[in-house]
Amino acid sequence: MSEKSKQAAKSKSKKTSSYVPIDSPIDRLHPMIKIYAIFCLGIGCAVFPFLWLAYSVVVFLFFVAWKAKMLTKFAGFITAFAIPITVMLLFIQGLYSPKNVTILADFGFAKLGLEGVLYTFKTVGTLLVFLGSFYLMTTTTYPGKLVTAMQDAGLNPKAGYLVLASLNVVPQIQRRIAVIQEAQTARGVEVTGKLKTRFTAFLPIIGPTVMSSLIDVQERGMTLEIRGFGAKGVKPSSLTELNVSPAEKAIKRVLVTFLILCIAFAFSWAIFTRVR
Amino acid sequence: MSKSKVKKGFVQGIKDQFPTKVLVLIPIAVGINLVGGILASGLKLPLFLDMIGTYISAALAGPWVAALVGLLTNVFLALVSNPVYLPYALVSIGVGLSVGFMMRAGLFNKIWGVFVIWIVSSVLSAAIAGTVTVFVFGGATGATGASVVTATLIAVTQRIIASVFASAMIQNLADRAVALVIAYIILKNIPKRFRSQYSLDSMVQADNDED
Repeated sequence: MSEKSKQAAKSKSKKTSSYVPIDSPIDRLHPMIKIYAIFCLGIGCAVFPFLWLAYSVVVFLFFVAWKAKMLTKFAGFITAFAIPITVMLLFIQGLYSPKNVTILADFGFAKLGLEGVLYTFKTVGTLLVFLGSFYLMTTTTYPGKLVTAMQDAGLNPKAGYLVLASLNVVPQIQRRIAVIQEAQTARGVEVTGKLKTRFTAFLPIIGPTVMSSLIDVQERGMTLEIRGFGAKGVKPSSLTELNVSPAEKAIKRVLVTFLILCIAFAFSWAIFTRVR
Repeated sequence: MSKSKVKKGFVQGIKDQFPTKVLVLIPIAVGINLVGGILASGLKLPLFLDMIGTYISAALAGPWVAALVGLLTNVFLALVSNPVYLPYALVSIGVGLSVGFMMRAGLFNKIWGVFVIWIVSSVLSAAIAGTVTVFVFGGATGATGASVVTATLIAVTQRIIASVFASAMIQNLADRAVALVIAYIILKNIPKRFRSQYSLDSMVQADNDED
């Protein structure tokens, strides 16, 4: 990427996605590899019968975040997700899970069961792997690059347009809503105060926003059609081009092997425990 | 119109619903969904109101478009704010499809029909959201209002699944009612010139002209 396009990416990505443009090996990685990583690591940890694997992968994700120069942000995301959900699930599943047989502690109003606690940590571990890797993917991948990679992998270009257009449209509508809100407040619409006042303020703001957005729809449609968007039988080219390096192919192989090993182990473990 | 559709088969029938003018409607509807949510939290309303765009696209362009709008809204939320939103895409898809089919059946033109749409879409989204919360997240997604309600209900009733559904139901009934009323008012005010270009007959006509 040239310096100019990088700057453009920087100013563009400010609002449209959680992408943070920091140059790092993780940032340069092919987006499809990151998607492979989310699914292979996530599904692998979900089927694996023991707790330690998911938490080791979380530690590995911390290493990846450090490599991507995102460690503090990633740690913040993980703690903000993990602590509340663990507390809630320990309460819900630990105290009230119907599977609870082994009792760890008796609080009088309810009993803490081992099965519910194990279930909590299993669920939280798997979720952390899925959400953590997804979070790393979104923060280190420029959306345009992601969509190009998915189109190379066979995604319909129209679907690719939808994703990118949605990312662009939202800040645009947000700007429009700010203008309309200002205009309505100038006219005397109250946007603060009692619940009823705030409710009545909703419609005069959202109404004009929707109407002007719908006019925008027609303009966009015409613009795209003029440029041959609906043309059939042509292979569209793309501004961003991506190549898969040998190292990335190796990473892909490692990820797939990891998934296969996890599934194989989960199967043999299930058979083993049943026979015993 | 129905004849040509049967000939083309199911998948082609869905594909036919996506000419360019529908395609450009989708990101805008996603934007309306998200901006509704942002405005609701900006005005500190106790609702999400993030389905207005789905309802509007369902009325204008049918169930499959509305389902896609729902899916993209959640994909966007997952990309931008929090990956937790991704599994709940199933809720948006379900609501988009069901509302789209009910609107196509003409329920949106009558007051009792709107009432039916409200009940069905609330029950359906509570059922799907509850299922996702129980089977993906184990019962709660964190220290949100809904999770606290769920936990309280569980402490009283001792039943996890029923409590999750009850808390999702309370939330959805109120939210969908307000969102539907807003969508209804907006749709009544959309110029006929704009609405008519999305009516199914004219779209099939336009497709035939292209060929």
